[in-house]
Amino acid sequence: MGTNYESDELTGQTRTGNVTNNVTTGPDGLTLLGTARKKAKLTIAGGNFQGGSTSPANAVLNDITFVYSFKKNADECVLNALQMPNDYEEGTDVIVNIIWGPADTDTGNVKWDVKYNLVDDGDNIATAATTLTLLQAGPGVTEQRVTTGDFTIPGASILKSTLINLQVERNGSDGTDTYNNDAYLCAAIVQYTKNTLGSAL
Amino acid sequence: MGTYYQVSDFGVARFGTTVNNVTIDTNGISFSGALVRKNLVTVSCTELADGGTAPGSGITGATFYREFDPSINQSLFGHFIFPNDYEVAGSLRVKLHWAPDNTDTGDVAWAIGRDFTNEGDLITGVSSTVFTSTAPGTANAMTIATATLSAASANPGTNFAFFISRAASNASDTFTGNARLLSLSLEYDSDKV
Repeated sequence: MGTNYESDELTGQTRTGNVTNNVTTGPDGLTLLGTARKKAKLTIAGGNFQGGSTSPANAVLNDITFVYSFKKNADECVLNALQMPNDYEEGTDVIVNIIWGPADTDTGNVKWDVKYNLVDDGDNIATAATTLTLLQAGPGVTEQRVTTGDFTIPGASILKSTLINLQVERNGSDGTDTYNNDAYLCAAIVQYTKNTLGSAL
Repeated sequence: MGTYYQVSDFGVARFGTTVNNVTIDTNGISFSGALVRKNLVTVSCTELADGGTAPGSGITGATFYREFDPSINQSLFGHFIFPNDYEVAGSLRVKLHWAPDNTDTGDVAWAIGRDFTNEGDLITGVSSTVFTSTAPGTANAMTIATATLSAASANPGTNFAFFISRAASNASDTFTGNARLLSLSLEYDSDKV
């Protein structure tokens, strides 16, 4: 390991940790480097989505859980949009996970699509969407919570100011979607890497 | 400039000058001066409730939007709770992400109504601000309109109730087309972790 602590009067920076992995305080505030960076998450509750061009019905399970109910043999979708927080490390990947549950005990696959576009000031808001796809089997237990694997949005062109328009779709008409009943969408989780505590004023 | 780094026997470590610094003490980590940060929370237009006269909606690609007509005042409502890292007596910047549906370059007059309420306050107050944003001349080109609001009465936990409307009847609204609202970001000053 390198030096664990260093203070530089010329740059006004104090580094705690080694050269690669550290917490630095200085004129830019507090920044995190390497393994000192943190993972953070945002939640998009099911109720904060809006039905798309073909919208799933919504329902409340057991008087407590709001869900969108995606039918078999249909391509239904919901939408939301978010701007990355100011602690986001620009250029790093953004991960989306879907939290859902099945309507019955079947163990067929649900084909989930996450579609997105990245829009900055001056960009066309109708920029064509990119589609990410995952198949996930029903757990075999009615209404059991399941979290999908990672839908990874490449971060190369994502800035703090970037607006991410998100669409979640069950591609139920696809032959690989073999789950025989409704899939209940509860929420989406958006994970990102943070390397600071905000932007300069 | 002053000392860049100082640790006292009273359990206080200060990084930076006496004016602009990061301080670590028994209250945790705080920032002052130029090191106060800005953070934001996004509210997608999918999360806003319809007003008495509500805009229509549409979808293009992966983008859901609410469409404000040039001939009638339409509105959407929402709430935001000031987070615990908010700097008391800071300001709140509301940034609307919107796009025009045609190539006209007139101005859209946006209005934001708001009420900051703390425990025990009446929830019936409202004040509003109209601010304009010039259409870029390219259909569907994203544009950001910013209103800076005084948040002098806000504390962490204060409820910020707001509405967004297009003040179509205002003389300063000269844009001929529909204004498509995608989302808004609520940007605030943060002086602590």
